[in-house]
Amino acid sequence: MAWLPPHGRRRALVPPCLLLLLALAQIGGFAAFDLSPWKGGGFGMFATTDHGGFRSVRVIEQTAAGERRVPVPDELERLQRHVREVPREANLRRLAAALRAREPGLGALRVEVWRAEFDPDDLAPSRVRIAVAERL
Amino acid sequence: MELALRVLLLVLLLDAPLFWFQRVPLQIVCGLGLLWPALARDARYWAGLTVLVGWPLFWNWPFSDNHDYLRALTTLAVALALTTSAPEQALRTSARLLVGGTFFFATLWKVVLSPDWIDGTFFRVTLLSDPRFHDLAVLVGGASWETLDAFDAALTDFLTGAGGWPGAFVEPAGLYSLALALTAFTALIESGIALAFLWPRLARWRNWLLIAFGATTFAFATVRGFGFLLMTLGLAQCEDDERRTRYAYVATLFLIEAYRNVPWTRLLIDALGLS
Repeated sequence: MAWLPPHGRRRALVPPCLLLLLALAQIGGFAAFDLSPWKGGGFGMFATTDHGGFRSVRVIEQTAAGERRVPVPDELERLQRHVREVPREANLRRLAAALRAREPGLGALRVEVWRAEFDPDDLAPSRVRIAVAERL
Repeated sequence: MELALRVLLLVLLLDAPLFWFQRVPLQIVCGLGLLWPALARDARYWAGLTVLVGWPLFWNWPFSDNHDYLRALTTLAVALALTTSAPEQALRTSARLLVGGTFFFATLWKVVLSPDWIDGTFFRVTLLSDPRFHDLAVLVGGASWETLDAFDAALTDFLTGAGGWPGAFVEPAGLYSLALALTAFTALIESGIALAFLWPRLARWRNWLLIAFGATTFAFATVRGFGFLLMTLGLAQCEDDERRTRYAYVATLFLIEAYRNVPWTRLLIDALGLS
């Protein structure tokens, strides 16, 4: 196998192999649970408008009187950003649980993650829901 | 290899993590390696550095940037190379494949996986909405500050839910052309670097493509740490007889630092009366 380095130097292939695994895992995360293309070590930065700045998290309380948006306090800002970048259902549930721990009186919660898409003709943005967890 | 290791230590020192408890230990260890070069030739020292560079990736998950991962893989590559009988060749192999892999996946994302890059939408939106690209939009794209402010205000209102999209936005023609040119240039240079570093037949192009990338892209994309790391990896993979190329990598590294510190686009905008 002429393309391989000689025996004593094959460990030089370990870091590139790790890069390969990491990048493939990141693509898998994107496909499976909409991991942000800009995050996770897959080199998707500057490759799409789908990044944290154009994603948003909404928490909605569902009551008998209707629905109302629940503001996420500053102390949970890091968790909210985490949900935005990695919108797995477990993370959405974690955010709802953290909110409930602060405000036990909250009714049933729905957590949603949205991203903006831009029309290629006139750049008009629209919102697309990419993750939701209900009855939390 | 000595030069590459010293430059890498300098890069780690200058582009250390944000949190003090991640930054300070790393900077102290890097400083020690610069003061005592014998330390920097020890694989155990680089293994320790790999731990210091690597653990923030877990602590900060998922917020680390791509080059933070590449930085950890680079220090690991040095640590492993120093355990071999031919460290220079081993590091050369790792560095080439790391650069090639980085650009392969960057190209894959842009050209294949992303739904809005190849048609130019990404750069059209970014030139209008990302303040890091506003000087370029004004200087080359012919955009006015009023246009940028209007788009930014409308987009902020839309994203925060404060208002709807105001209707048809008139995109300056020059900006559209600039976005398409940037898309074409980026696709060509990034795929070219991936090919040149991964396919030995194109080896003679690899250094100049990577240096050209560093000298052009980081004039506007102010991701200093990524630029530093790419130039260091380029330096590390140079052959023994490529002395001038090594200096070109170091010079480009300092150019990237100058781009960040000298407000050259703003000075140019003022000189041209575009402010």
